Amino acid sequence: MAENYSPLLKQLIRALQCLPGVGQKSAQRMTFDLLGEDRMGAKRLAEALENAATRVTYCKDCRMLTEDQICQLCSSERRDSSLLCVVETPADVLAVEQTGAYSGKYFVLMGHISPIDGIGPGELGLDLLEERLAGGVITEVILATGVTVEGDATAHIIASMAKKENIQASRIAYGVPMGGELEFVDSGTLARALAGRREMD
Amino acid sequence: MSQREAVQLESGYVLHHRAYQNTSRIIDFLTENHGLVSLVAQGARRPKAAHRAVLQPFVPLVFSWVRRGELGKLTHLESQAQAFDFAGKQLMAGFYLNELLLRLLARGDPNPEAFSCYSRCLTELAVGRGVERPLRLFEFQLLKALGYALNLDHEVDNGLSIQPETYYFFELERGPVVCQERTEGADVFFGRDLIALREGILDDKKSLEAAKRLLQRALRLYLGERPLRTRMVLSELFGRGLEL
Repeated sequence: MAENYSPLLKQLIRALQCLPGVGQKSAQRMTFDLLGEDRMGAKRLAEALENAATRVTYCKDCRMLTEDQICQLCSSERRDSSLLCVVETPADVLAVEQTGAYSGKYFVLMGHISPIDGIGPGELGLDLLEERLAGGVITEVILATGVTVEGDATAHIIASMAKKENIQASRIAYGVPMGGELEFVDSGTLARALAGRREMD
Repeated sequence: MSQREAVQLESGYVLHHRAYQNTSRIIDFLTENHGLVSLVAQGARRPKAAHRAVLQPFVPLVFSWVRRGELGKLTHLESQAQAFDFAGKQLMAGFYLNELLLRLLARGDPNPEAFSCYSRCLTELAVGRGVERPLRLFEFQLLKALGYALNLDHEVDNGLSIQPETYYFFELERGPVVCQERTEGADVFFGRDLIALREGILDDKKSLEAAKRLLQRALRLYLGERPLRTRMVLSELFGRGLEL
């Protein structure tokens, strides 16, 4: 870092580098922009960060990030409480929400099973999930974990938890993307798409 | 500066991967002729990365890399055959194999025998007739590939061959010694069970149980104090009464 930056500037530049995709150069640009052109924006950003960092925790029901005890999705009365969609991250909740095709509730694992890294049921809040499944309200669990080896392993474990409670578990379908031409789809995806084909009516 | 190494079209498997920088991954591969190799896959976490679908554990791969020093760079990758379609128990068994290899193989130490044990074990797991037998045979063969083969042929002290109807006390790193009296104990094994492991038969519960007991003791010797994480996660799952 340039020697002639003042300590506060240096501190800010270094702090901004904790953001994903931000290195030394971008951090410098952000710093000068915030302090030069957009002092109000900088104040708002600081306040928002401060508030969020101190008050946002996990929803007691679904582990989504929120400053409330129970997040809006969980407390909404318009949503179907008998459906539960299990996802890996809060970003996945937003992705599913954006489809507008789902009106049930969620459970956010904040990761996936990765035995080699020591990430097991405890780290994913499966105790909490077990309680919710045992609550007797849920009739179907939709496993929307990533289509990776770890995501599959996670889905299997949760499916077996659901089975214990006699709850139906289903896995999201995978295959050729919309607008996809078969020629450009990788063979693994295509094989799964063929295995998971369905009858046309 | 260390020698530049460029390897073309080597066969191997992903054992483990972790995020690296913003869009890349560091991947530990088991290769056929170069042992364990750690490579950076640049841009592997980008939404449209070309290899997302195949850069996964349990997919037979062919890949190339260049390397100077410890960490190399993946330059080419393709799948060689269909991925092993594992579910539940098979997946967990697969993770266990991967962790064992990561813990026991030395980096950059070629071990084609360990590679063939691994592919053989994946093939057997895929058959779907239980995971215990393939896992025990893998552990047994891996120890051999590492140069720590268990002696299941003859008694250590006098070279007499193992008899099926005799009880043996198994001294780790040495081999079986006849038990004078029929005693029970963690280190005591029935001759028939030792032979079953040696011949790769292991077709009944009793011999599988004995093989597990023996191999766990032997592996602990080489793994050291740090327990296998896969095993901890598995016992946690088991403790919750979850059937995979």
